[in-house]
Amino acid sequence: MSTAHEHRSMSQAELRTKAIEALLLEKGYLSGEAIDLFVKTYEHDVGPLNGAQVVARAWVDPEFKGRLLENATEAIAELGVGGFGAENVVAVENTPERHNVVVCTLCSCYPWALLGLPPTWYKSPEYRARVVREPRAVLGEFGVDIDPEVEIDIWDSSSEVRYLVVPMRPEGSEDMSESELVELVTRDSMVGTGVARS
Amino acid sequence: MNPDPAHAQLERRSLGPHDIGGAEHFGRVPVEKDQPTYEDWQMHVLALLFGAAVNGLFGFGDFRAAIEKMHPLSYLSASYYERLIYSVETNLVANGVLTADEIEAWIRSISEDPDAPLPAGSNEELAEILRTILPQGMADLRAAHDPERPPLFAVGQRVRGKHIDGDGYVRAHARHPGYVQDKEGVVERSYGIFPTFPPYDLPSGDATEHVYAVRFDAADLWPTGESHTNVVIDLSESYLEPVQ
Repeated sequence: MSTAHEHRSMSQAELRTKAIEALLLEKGYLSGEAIDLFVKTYEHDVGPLNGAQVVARAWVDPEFKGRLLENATEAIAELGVGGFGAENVVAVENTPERHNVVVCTLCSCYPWALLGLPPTWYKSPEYRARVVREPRAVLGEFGVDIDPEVEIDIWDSSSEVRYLVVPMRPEGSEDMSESELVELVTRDSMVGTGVARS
Repeated sequence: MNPDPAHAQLERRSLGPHDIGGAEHFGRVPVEKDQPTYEDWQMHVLALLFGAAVNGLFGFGDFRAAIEKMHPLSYLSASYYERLIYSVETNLVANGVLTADEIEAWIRSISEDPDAPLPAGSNEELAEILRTILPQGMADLRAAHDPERPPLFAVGQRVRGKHIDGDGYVRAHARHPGYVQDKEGVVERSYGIFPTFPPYDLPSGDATEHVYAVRFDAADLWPTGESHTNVVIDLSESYLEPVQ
C-alpha cells in the first residue's frame, strides 16, 4: 500500500465525485480552469460580507432601505451585489414588533450571492422540519429569545425567490461608520436565527 | 370547507422524503456559529453540478427529482453533498452521458493512485460562461412579467393549498409541501412568472407559472400552532385554489 493511501482516506462519495469529474473532463464537458474558478469564487469572493454591506447601507441610508424593501434585486445591484443564487431577492425587515426567519423546508435554497454557501444547520432535517412548526424553540437553540408578543414570520423559500432578513440596528451603534456597522452584521442575523452584534 | 386542523394533521401529506416541513420527532438543530468549512471534494460536487447544468446534461427538475425519489432512510442518512453527487451520477447515467462501468473503472484507478492528475478538460467555453453567470445570475430564473398573462389571484385574496391526488406529483419535482395542502391562507405578494416543474403525468406546456407568497397563520397549519406565528411560503398558481 502506498503512503498516499495512508494519509488520504477518501469516502465513497468523494471517490465517486472524483471519478465523475475525471469522466466529464475526459469527455470535454468540463475544464480544470472552470472548476478552479468556481471553487475560488465561493471560497474567497462570495460570502456573508456581501449581505452585511447591504444591511449596513440600509441602516445608514433610509432611502436605500426603502428601495431595498421595495425591490431588493435592483437595490443590491447598486452595491454591485447579486448574481447566481440571487436572481430574485426579497428583503424583509425585523422590527420591535416582527421577527423574520428564513428556511427552505423542501431542500436548502439560500441566497448564495448574498450569504455564500449555506451552513450545515440550514441544510439539516432538524432545522427544516422544526422551524416552521416551533420557531421559538428552534430560535432558543440559537440563543435567540423572541418575546411571545412579537410576531414571527417564517419564510419558506420554495421558489426561485431568495430572502434576506434585515436585522435591527443595535442600540448604541448610532455613532458608528458604515464600515464599522458591517462588522456587526452576522450571517445568522441575515437568516433570522441571530441578531446583530452589539 | 376548512378541514379540522387536528384531523388534517393526522393525514399529513408528503411529496416524498424531502417534504419534512413540520414533521415531528426531529431533535435539536446542529448549530455551529462559525463559518462553514468545506471539504475540497464538496466544493467540487457543486462545480460538477454547475458544469453539468450549463452543458444541459440534465435539467434542474430531474436533478431534484432524483434526490426526492431516494428511499427515505437513504435520504435522511446521506449528507447534503452525498445526495447531490448521487443525483448527478444518477442523471448522467440515465441520460447516457456516462456509464456505471466507466465510473467504476475510474474509481479503481483513483483508489490505486489517489494523487494522479485528472485528465485535462477541453471545454474552453465553460470558464467564460461561469464568469458571466456567477456575477450576473441565470436570466431564465428571473421573474417574467407579461401583461397578456395576468395572475389568477390578487394580493389579499384568500386561497387554499390544493389537495394533490395521484402520484404524478410524488414522482416529479414539485414544490407544494404537504403542510400547506388543504390549508387556507392569504396571498401576500405576487412575484410574476417563473419556470415550473409540472407532474410527469400532465403536459408541461410552456412550463412557466405565476408564483405567489402566501401567508398562513400557524394556528391553521398545526394543531400546536403558536400564536403570533405565521408561515409565508412561495407557491405556484396551479397549487392554489380560491376560497369561496
